[in-house]
Amino acid sequence: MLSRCVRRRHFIGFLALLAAPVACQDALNPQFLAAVGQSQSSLPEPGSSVVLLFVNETVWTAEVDFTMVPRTTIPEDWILGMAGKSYTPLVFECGVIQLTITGGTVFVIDAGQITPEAVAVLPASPLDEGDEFVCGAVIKVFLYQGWDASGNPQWEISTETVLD
Amino acid sequence: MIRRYIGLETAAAILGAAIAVGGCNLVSQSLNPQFMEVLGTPFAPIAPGTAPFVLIRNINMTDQRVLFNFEWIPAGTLASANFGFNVSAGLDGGVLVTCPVSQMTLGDLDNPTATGALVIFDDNTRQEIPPLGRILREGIDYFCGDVVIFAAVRDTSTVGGYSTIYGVIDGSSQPTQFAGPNTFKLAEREIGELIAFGIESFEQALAVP
Repeated sequence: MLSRCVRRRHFIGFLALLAAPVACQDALNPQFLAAVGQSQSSLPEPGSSVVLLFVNETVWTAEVDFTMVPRTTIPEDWILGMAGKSYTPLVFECGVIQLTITGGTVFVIDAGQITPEAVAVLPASPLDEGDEFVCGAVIKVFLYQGWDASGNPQWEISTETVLD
Repeated sequence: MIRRYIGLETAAAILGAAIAVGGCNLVSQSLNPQFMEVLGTPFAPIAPGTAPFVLIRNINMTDQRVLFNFEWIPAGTLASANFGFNVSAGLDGGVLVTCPVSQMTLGDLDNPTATGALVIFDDNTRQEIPPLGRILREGIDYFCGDVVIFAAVRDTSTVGGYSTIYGVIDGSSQPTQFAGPNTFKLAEREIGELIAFGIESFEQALAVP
């Protein structure tokens, strides 16, 4: 009798566990799910994102060139223009499997002349999903003035992934 | 083997009972990330939620490249700012704008009948997509923490064969616990540090009276 009761208790508990995903989802975010349904029916299901937080620490206008490799389509090249001393948070849906900062240009103004100057990317290797970032991460891309091996000033870009 | 089976069964019973009695939040906080995801906890957020942003996303659902141009009123200004995304077929791009964002549209806030998207064909010829035709307002059409989506779609009912649509994802009732990175809270923290170091928002730089 006791054994049968224990088995029944286990079975009821197990049923509750099976029901938990649906029950919890509804309990936690009913309006959220409803809102998705209220969106235009032809819009795709929303997904999570990767944030690319570009930071131009120089006082000059600049461009940053980067290439993203989506999981489902061909690589896409982007150019982002930035004002001096500003940040830009771009957002892309998860599914990006590789991000490469390919270069950049700083537009230095000297005596009224605009001189485009190239930027060194440190390190130049691509960022791969699963190694350097995951879905949901914030990837900071800094443009700043650094120094080359000879001690000469140069414009540099470096990246840092933030997960927590 | 039998012992292990009984152990799993007992664990399931305890967990099931805990969920039934204690509610979902308590249980989701006490489990490891992989298991939480199985129980319905998302890996990462979809919308900013409690982070003070509106995410404006542009989705190209056509088979051609599309240039999106949208305009909004940045926080703390009476000016407007506009930003563009040149998006390949099937891809998307978005930007986080800081709350409050009183109004926005795909195109021109001063002229809602102007187009806000162009189809760019392979030979580089361009075709205007009919305008969205309305201005979206905070507190009416969307709230801080939401995602506003502007999408270009194929539409055989229009002369050019394309149209733009929009949708809003409610961020206020999104879960607050995630198995992976809490993306927009991380962005909020990092942006706060940048502002403290005198780096200004791209919105301020773009704002034109």
